[in-house]
Amino acid sequence: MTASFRGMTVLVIRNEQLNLLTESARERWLAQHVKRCFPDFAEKLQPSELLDFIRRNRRRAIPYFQSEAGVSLYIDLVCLLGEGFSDDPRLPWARDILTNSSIDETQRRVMLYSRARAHLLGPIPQGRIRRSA
Amino acid sequence: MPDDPNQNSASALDTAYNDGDNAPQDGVAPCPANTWFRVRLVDEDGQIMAGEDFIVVDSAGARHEGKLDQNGEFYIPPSIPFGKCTVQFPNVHLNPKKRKK
Repeated sequence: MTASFRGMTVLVIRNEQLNLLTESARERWLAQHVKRCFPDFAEKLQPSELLDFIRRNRRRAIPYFQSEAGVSLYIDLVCLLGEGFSDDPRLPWARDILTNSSIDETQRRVMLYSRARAHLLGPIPQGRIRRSA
Repeated sequence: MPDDPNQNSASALDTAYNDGDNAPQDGVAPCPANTWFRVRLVDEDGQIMAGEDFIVVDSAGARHEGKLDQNGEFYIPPSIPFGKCTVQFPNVHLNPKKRKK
């Protein structure tokens, strides 16, 4: 959209358009994040598929996280545990943490990360001390 | 890199979690560089308004003053911080072209 200001034609960017630009920047950052942190996973997807993956799971994450860091963790766990991990009956802790309204978002992110990490490492073998990564 | 696949997954999560801390808050990473500013002033008929006084206050509060060049323009090279600038033409009402007839 253009408008005139003192005889000059100027480009006007409406809030809706600005929001779309911001949304696009967020998606691009998340796509780069997945490529950086989960290269094997990202390699299997075409660029358009990766973007669809980001959009789909970003929508799923938004009810639980307002911050991009929280959304980013949610997508990380999708890469590691699979889509729908938050509703997976085999991972009841995920839903419990995500829907726990007595904690704030920062705590939710830390708890989800810690619990997911413990899940990924699995049970500690008897008589062994696990080294941390 | 640990050989244990469980350790690999946990390490990947650690890396991703730390990377997530750098996620831009508004979706656009802040750029530390400076920027430039350029304005051209013309009247309602599209005629350039050369020599007009201007005052620009940048987002850091620094004041830049001067007169528009023969093209009715002024240019501040990449030296000012990103953000909103205010522009004033304090004497535009004194311009003979702008006086009411």
